[in-house]
Amino acid sequence: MLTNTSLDTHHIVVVLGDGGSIDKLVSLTNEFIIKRGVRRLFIHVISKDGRPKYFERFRHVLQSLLHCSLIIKYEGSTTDDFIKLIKSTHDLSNLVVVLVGESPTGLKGFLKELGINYISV
Amino acid sequence: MTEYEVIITSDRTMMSNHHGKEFLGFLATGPAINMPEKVWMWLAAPKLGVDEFGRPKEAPYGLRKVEAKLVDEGFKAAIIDPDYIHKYLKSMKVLMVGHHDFFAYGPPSIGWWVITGKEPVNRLSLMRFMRSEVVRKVKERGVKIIVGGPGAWQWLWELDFWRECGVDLVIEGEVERVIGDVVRKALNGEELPDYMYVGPSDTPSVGEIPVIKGGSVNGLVEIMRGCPRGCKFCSVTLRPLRFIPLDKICEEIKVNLRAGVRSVILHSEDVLLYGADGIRPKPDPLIKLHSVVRSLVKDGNIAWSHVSLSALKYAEEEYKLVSNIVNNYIRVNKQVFIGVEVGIETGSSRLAKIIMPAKAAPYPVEIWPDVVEDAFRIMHENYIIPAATLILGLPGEESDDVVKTAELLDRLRPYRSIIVPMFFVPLGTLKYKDWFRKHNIGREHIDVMLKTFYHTVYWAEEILEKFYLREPYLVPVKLGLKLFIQYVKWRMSKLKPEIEAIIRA
Repeated sequence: MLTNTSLDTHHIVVVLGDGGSIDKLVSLTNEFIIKRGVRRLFIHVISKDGRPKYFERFRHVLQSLLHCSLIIKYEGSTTDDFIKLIKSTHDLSNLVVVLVGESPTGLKGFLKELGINYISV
Repeated sequence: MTEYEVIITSDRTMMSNHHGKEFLGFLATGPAINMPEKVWMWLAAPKLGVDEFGRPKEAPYGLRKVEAKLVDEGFKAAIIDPDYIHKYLKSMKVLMVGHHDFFAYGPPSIGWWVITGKEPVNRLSLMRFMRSEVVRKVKERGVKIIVGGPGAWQWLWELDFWRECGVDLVIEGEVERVIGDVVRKALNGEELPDYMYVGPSDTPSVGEIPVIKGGSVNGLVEIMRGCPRGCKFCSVTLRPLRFIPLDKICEEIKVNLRAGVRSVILHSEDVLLYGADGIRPKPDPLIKLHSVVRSLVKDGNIAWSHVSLSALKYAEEEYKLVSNIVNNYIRVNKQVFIGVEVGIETGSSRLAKIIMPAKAAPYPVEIWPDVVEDAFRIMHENYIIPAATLILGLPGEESDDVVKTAELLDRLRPYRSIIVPMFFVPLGTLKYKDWFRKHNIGREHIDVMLKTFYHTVYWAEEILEKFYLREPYLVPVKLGLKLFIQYVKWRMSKLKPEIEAIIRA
């Protein structure tokens, strides 16, 4: 059920850079859950803070998401890690990418190239 | 010896039957006071009997459910006492550690920690276990470490320790539907996520909840899951209400009896709502439940884990149901009282209306203090001894609310009970709120804490004298507790002038 490829699981990729607003990420994620009626959410995290240190900023997001099942997975810290993750994603059409604060070099260009929309907070 | 691949365990404060007295387990939520930690640990959490494989005779119920689910799905999994997991270093591929309060951030541990300034023994014991030589070796061998249980969220506040221990996955929620997949992935060497929370829509149905395979601590068996009251500070209320069928309850009691556990703790957030119509208790399912349970355990003790005060008042006033159950099914043979946990939380109707609007139902929340007093009177008359909780620092609390709580405590003085003040911990739908900390403690809070102290000490002496620890083998424990009470009374008498000066200031 709670696997990477499960059809009824929605995926978000969060790139945690320096700065940015975690509060905005919280409200955005809640809005996303309500709008799409999400019951299971898989959040992939790219952050230079490393694992599990990234939870220091990220735990506030988890605390506000009580009404759906959650999976959080650290995917790396660099643009290359991000590219690897995107390339392994089967369905790019439903993918939501959120960039929090400054994003790693070359990442926005890669997203534009693939035509993937992203949200900056 | 069976080559278990999945080892399920916990630290000593969890892996104990607390001398067969569930309430003594609460000592493990505090620090060792005026005695060596080893003595405190012996009082709170003595070692359990194990078989030749290191499998405990009794184990925490949550761990038993995980074990049962994995065994049913064909895994070589077992609960092993923490002192024996070294026996499985070679075969172990997954180590699962469960706890309801890993780092003492939950109630009431956090309260004792703030008041005394000393780390509670449950935290020390868990950290010692996770840093032990055997767990280090487990990690070196590439075993996946999964931690879970009601206290799993606390790992999000202990990130350095998380990294130090090499924990692979933190999992929270009712895991029956997902735990098989998780363990399968771990055994296949696949990458695990860092954190999983099983939300309300993925909670298991009654049919998916397995029957335990071995004895549970003090014979605890679950009779329902979830709670319909919707109190904002509680996480259980987010989950759907499910009644466990009587035959399944009986099956688990029989498992316990076969394991040599002759007592039963009926576990639910509100035992009197078993088979209820909404929040109104119904006589038939409750009488049937107690009658069947008594017929199985005969001389053993029956206890309730939790009841709500409003359900208790309603059950007695509408049907004389409480006295009926106590007199005909509980206080029979050798049993002289029944223990239970209840939640007062606040003496303020105003705050109750905001934070727990349905707690008094079917009575109006405006009369919450009267509901509490009536329920305490009913319990006193029926030899039900409650361990009651109060929550200080609830979001939106004002000074006057705390004064109302103090006034309610005065009204409760004539009723036999233990009352414990707890500090607000962000759980349930209040998870995003701030914690109640030392600097938030006001004069009114100190007044409430003092009143609970004197109330509890007064009644604890009577309870110890007439009801509790009557078995001859428990004489040393009883003596230890009596000495402890004398010590805290003496200590408080020394501190009292200083505390009263703070209250007057």
